[in-house]
Amino acid sequence: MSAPHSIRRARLAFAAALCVSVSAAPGHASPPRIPTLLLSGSNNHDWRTTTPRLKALLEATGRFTVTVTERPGELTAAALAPYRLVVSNWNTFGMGDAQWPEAARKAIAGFVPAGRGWLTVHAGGSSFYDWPDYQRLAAPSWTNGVTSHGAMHRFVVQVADAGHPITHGLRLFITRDELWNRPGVQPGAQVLATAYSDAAGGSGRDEPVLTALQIGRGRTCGLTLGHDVDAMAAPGFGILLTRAAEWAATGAVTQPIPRTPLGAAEADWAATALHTWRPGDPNGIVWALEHDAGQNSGTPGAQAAAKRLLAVAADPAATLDGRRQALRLLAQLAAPGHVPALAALAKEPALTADVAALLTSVPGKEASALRATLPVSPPVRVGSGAAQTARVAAELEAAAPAALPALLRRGLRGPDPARLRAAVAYLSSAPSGVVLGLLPEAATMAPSGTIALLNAASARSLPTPPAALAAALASDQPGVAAAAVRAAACAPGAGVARLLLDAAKRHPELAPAIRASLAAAPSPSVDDALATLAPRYSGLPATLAYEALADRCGAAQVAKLMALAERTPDSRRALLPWLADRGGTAELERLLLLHGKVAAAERGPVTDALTRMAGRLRRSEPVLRAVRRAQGAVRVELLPVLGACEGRAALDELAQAASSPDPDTRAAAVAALGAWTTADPAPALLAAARSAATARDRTLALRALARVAPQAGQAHASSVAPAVASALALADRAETLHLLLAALAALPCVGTLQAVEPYLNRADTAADAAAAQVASVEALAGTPHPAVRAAATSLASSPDPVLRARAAEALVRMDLGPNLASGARAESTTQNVPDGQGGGPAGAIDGNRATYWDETDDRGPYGIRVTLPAPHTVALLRLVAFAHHDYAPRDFEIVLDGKAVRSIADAQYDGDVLLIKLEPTRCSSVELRITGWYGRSPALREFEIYERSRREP
Amino acid sequence: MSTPMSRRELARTAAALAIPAIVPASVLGAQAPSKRVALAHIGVGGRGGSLLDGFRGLPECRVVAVSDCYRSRREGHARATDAAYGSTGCKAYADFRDLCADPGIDAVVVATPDHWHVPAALEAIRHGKHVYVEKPLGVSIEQDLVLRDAVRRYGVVFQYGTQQRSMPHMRWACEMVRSGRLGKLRAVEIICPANVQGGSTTPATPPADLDYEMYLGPAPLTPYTVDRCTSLGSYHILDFAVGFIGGWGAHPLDIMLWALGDGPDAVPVEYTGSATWPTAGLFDTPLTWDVRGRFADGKRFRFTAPGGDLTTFIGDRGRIEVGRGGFGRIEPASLRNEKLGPGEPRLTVSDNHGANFLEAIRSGAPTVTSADSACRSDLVSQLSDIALRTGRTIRWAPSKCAIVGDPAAARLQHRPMRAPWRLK
Repeated sequence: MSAPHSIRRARLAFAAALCVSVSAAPGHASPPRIPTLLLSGSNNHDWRTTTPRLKALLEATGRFTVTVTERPGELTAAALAPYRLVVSNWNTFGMGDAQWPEAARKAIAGFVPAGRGWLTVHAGGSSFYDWPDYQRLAAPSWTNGVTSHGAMHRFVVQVADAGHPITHGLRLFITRDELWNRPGVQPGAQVLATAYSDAAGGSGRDEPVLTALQIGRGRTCGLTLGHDVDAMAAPGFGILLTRAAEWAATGAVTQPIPRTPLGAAEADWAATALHTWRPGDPNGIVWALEHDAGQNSGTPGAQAAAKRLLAVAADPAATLDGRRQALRLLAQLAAPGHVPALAALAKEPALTADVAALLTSVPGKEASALRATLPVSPPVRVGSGAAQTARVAAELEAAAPAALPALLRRGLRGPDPARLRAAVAYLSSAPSGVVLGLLPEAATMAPSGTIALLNAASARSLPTPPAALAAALASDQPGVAAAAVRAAACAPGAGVARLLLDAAKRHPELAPAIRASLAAAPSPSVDDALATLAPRYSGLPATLAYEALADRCGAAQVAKLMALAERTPDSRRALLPWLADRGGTAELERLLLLHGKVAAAERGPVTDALTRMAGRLRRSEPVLRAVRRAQGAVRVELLPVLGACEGRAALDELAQAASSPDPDTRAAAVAALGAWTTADPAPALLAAARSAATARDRTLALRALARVAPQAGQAHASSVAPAVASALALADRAETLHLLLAALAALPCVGTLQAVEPYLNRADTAADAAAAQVASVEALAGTPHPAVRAAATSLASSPDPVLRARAAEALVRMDLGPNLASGARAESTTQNVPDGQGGGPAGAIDGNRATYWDETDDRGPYGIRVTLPAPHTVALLRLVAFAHHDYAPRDFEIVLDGKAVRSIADAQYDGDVLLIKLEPTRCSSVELRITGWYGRSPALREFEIYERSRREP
Repeated sequence: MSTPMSRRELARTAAALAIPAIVPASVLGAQAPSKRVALAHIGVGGRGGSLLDGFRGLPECRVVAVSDCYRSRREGHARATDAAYGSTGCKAYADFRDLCADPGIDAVVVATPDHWHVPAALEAIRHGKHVYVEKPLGVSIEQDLVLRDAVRRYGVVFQYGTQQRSMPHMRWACEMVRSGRLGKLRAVEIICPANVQGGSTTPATPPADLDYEMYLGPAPLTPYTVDRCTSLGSYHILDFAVGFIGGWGAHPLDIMLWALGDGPDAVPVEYTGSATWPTAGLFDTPLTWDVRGRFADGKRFRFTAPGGDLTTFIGDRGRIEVGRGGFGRIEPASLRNEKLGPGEPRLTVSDNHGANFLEAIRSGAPTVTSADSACRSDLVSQLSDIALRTGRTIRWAPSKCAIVGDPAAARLQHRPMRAPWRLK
């Protein structure tokens, strides 16, 4: 039998191999290795030792196949084509960059944007300082004159972006390396890890050590660590290197994160630093020791880690803060064996409380015995009633399932308050079967017992029997009926409808809850019950029945509810609002018929519903027929309905009605025209005003005209403005003139400018007329017309300061042409955090001075770039700063398409405005590089860009 | 820029946090003085003071005592309370234990710094008082569980001061998730604001107005600095809190619990994460974080800061993003018009968090946030924090109410308390 057996095993193995190779395709078992090119052969560091180390670190992960080139100058696009990742351990430092071949430059510039990765290690980017594309690859890069470093020393590297794929799951590590101060971080790059550069001999701030940047479809990372092979031996260096490399090449990281306790030398260094630690010192070493404790606890390393911390705690020469931190950190590590040492420490009064606290985390009898000798709390005081409750609660918790109902019943029936309280509290966690068993008796309990049972039923959607529900609903005890109403939402059967409607008579204050329970009741037969019952009630219960029915019904039941709505005034009041939002043409016609039939006093809800329905359906034919059929008051009431339909036919009919001999008809027709949502009725309303028989009619028509006309908007302003202009002559009251002039303010056109001219000199209309003019001037500033300029010039000397400012601004627009920044894209060029109030870079080009670009204070330099949709000639910049010489750019460079063209020092603003003329230059981006500012950061309300610098002849 | 506008922004946030003070008396009927709940406040600083203002506006209660370890605060608020009621008799207790022993008090509002929430609430509960406890619940898993058990054992009414369950749009979102409108849930994502770095570490003399020993209470005895007993200090110092991972996380996590049914399975069972940590200064809770995990049924969990206040439910048929300020993305857009139909379970309706507490005391109806649910949402914060501090993957067993498979991390479920303070 052995032969077939082994064959079967071989088959199984083959099948397993097949599975692996299939499942490897989506990349979870062993994704294909990443072809990687490692640049080397020249570096002001020891590349002969570091390059093999980098290759070994990368290949040890199983994710990379590394090829080394020592002649990067010979690279071409074809030579780079097979690689997904370039790692640079190469630079031309001190060798001159001039002879670098053009082919290699092109190949490198195009490599990353095409979707591949680039990683620079330490000085691997220190080349080509005047080649911006290369510097983008090299971030964070050495910047001559700015970047510096001290001697090799130990420091803590901490994660600065917890969510990035490279750093997610990491916390920190300690390394001995060269730490760069103030390296150049490229705009848009994310800082993923930082290290604090000690103020003594360093920069005194957190310095970036790893950055990531998306360029086109590809990615680059820059790691400033890795000065020599010893520095590269730190486990944290290897983790950052290989994870950054994988992310740069693929955009994801598949390598698992290993456990990362500190090495012995690093942990000793951190423990030594803890000896002198005070609360004002950097926290890095405390976090490092906390991380080390977390990584070591429960492992063989715990013993050594605990010993190190205990030594700090026991050292009388160490700072008290350091010793107390050590005791706190021991919470994860201390074992029963440490108790004697802790007993000695507890004798020091300054440490007794900390040792006592630590002992609560140490397992074993020894620890609790020692703690017992230290100060303990007095007994906790317990109120007497509460103690009784607690006893019953304990009884309930310990009770056998069979005994529970009797115990609970005894508590819930009262009157013993402690028992009652315990039973009520227990119900929230009692088994549902027990609650269900007690529900039929719900109404026989003490009031709070009844409430608790019914609440338990509604919380778990348990059905309460109708008899118990009826008894509870009839109760006069406060809260009982309310709980019963809630419980009714999950009661079975259609009978619940009648119970709740009867309860509404007795408890009108519960109406909203009753409606909600009727709407939620699970039995489908509740629908029919409500439809049958509703007509038998009147007032509140009837309304609730109809409303609940509407809540339960969907669009499919429109016809059924329509039939109900036709029956009684109650049903109409409750159902018509619902139908108005859902009914179709058939319901519209039925409502029109109904409207003609019911008494005048009951037509209100019908008319309201008709108006809403007509406005929604916009079908004027049936309404028109009804209007023509109707007489007297019915016809008058239907005119607003017709108006809501809008459209040509309705407009004609209403225009005619507006000149009817009947005053009510005239008023209703004019009101209906005035409710239009477009400006279409303007001519009809003007005609109505002209032919008005009385002053009242004329005023109503003019008011309606003033309401509809602005709806024409700027696009159709010139076709509607003449009607309003003619209406001005008909207005005989100041209020009407005011409304018409305000309407003209919303209709900017040359006609408006001329129409309001005569009203500028009348004391009662001057303000409204000027407002209309300035609105037109502002809207028309982009399309200069002699009349517009004349009006603007005259407004610019108006006594009103607001009008003056608006007119002056419009004149600027006329002189300078369109602001090229509107419709462009604005972005910050530094990685400063936007100020929450500002509205981001876009706030500076939105034409709204209330929004502005602003970033965190005191974080300069600052920069903003506006990219135009297409290249354009630029001759003038107009900056509107946050406030005059406060939060305003002071010293800055103007950069067009990456080239600095002008530098401004000590800018002097006129008000909030600074004008900067430039040599006309064709470009597609305008950037400010701001190095000095008034206030604590430069904020711009508007950043305007113009093609010309003054009025064209 | 740090112009006055930034301070106005802060003021707006503070106003949004305050509970609405006005409930029409007609909703609840006229209140005879004898039927009013006798209410006392422990902790009347910034948040506690605005809660006190809110409750004073409710006709169903009468504030009868306050306690605070700042003398000026307790005496000022007692005077203001008397002035508001036009009478005398609001007591000002220096020691909250004396307040809890006062038999004339029915219910207590705890709005102390976080490390006092559970000890103060326990003292009140053991005297049979109903409690309204500000978020976050406690500063350790052990504290959360002890408080939950005490509420159960002593049969008192409990309300959790997260307010957001009393916002109608939150209720709608949770009802949509519970009713299955999103289909099977695939993930829940939580975003909340980040912590801050800073705070003076220079020892200073505590102001004469402050009983510093009482402020510290169960926290380690540590020198006073000017930033230690401020609201920033009480939010961001590990001695007093776990940071915004609990302090603000409580809000969106509470909504997560509500939508997932408030049960034990609404707590994720696995947590892994990274955080950034303050490099200097007094505040020592994680600055920003990204915790990822999963629930027992396999759906994903993610909890990140910084950001606004947002809970996102992602199902296979749609997604809802909801925060205190309103909705984020809702997909499909038609979901926005959904409402519950007949027979679908509804959530408790509360429009005023304080009134809901008082109503529960008077009627016995459950509050909108039970102690079990408060305990569970706080567990999520605590477990996330432990994952960040240990750098390990933390596994939670709902059946055992404990971290499993990692005895060392399980030790962090407990937080030592300075004698004589203790939980049991």
